[in-house]
Amino acid sequence: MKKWIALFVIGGLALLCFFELRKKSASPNVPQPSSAPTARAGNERDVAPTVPAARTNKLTAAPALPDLPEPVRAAQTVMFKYVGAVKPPRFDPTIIAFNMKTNKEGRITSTTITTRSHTAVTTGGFVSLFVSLLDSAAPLEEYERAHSMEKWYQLTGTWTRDEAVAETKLILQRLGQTSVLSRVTSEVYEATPLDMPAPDGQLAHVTPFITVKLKGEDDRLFVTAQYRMEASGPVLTRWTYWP
Amino acid sequence: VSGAYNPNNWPNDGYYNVTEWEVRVTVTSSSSLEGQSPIVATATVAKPQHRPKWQYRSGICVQQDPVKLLSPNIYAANQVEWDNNVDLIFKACWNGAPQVYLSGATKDYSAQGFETMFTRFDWTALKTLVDGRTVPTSGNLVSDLHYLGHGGPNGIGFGISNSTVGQQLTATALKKMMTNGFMFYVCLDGCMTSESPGLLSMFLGGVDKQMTRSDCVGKGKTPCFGLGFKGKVNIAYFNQGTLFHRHFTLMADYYSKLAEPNQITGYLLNTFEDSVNFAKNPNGNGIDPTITHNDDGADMAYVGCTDCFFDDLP
Repeated sequence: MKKWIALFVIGGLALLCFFELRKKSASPNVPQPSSAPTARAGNERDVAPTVPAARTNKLTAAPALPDLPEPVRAAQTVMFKYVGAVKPPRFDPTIIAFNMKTNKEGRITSTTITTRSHTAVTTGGFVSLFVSLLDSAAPLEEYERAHSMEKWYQLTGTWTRDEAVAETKLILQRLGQTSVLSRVTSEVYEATPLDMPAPDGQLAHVTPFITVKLKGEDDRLFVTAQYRMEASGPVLTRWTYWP
Repeated sequence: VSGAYNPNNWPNDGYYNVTEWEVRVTVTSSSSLEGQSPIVATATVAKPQHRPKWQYRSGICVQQDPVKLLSPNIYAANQVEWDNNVDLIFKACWNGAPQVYLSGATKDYSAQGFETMFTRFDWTALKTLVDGRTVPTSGNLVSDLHYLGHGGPNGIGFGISNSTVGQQLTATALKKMMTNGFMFYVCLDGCMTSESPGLLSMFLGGVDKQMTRSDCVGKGKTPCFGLGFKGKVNIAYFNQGTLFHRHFTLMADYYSKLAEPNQITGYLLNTFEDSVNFAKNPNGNGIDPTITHNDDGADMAYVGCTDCFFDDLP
């Protein structure tokens, strides 16, 4: 009798585990169109993943989304126009998530598209945010955010203020935003040198990121461009544009 | 006095893990006149601890009692709109930190609305939460504060009168309280709370100007941010028969932008500065589609890390 009870209990537990596993595999990361901010448990990132597999799981292995809704396809076209003009390195066009934000009248005010390499937010006919998930100063990928600064010692590129400002204005011009360009009244150049330790313990005196801001009257911020100062040259990793 | 700082560990690591740094520098001239001893100059610089390392955050959204009661004849529909605005801010603040009641207990995410301070006992509870002396090892009980109510350049709350004694938090009191820990995020939604950066800086450990994320990394500073208003603010939603939508639209747009996440990883997309910029100029893409430029944002002023994120600190 005891043997049967034990078998019954073990069988029950096995079934429970089976259903739990099924439940988990049946709820992938599906984008939820929502205009409300998303809450997240406060301390879920306290333990950083220790293996690069986490990176693989979230981005590169995420499945492409089939049958995109029309507003997302329109946003995708806007994003491709931006990509054609700016040519961001390591860009992977495979869309793995999207989100449409609406106002209280139900009109879509912005569309967010996440590819395997970048997140783009489009508003109307332009890209208002384009950010690298892996290479920006605050990467949006879990593994990269936990470990990115360990590689900053390699960012030995240099740039003058004039070069950085000129490049930012050139991008704005390539995007066809010449009317906004003519409203720019001041430029802000932010370059903070840091002493970043290399794995051998040596300190590298580098300026890992340079940021240029283009402003108009009343301190209105039109553009924030963040460049990653790689040894081979600056790479635009974060672009915000709000005319 | 010893200590170490590795910028690779930012923002989990602060610059100082000791009570006080003392740097003693002695400079000896390489050459001296024959027969005379070398010239020696010494200088000692003592730097107090900036802030203890923070492992966990918690926050609170509070409103001063009269903000809502100024609306005795509020229409039901307006009440719904008020509640939605307040709820949006409350839920947005969850992206920074779990929210608590005035008692300090964790508030449920589905709970609606701000904590309301009616009496001086409620103010005492708030003071206990922000008081850095309360917990000797980690400082304050809350790291984030969103306040809605009366304000001025020297404090928040009522002016001191017989009926309102104790119902305010002044810069002077904050200076005494913040001896063992400062806060990460403070939004003081009241009149003239950032007329000068003094009041915000009292909450933020003396940070009274804007800085970049790289500045914080290099100097091991906690990525703090404080937002207030230089001038008078229409914080009464319904007052003397007039509805003040624009201020609440401003705050809703700011928090909506600030709390916008990446869908895959959950990390927030927009910096503090970008969120403020959007709220000031929503171009018809904010909560209210008729607003392209929000005049109520003209007085918004901030200090701290402009290109940090609400979820920068774990």
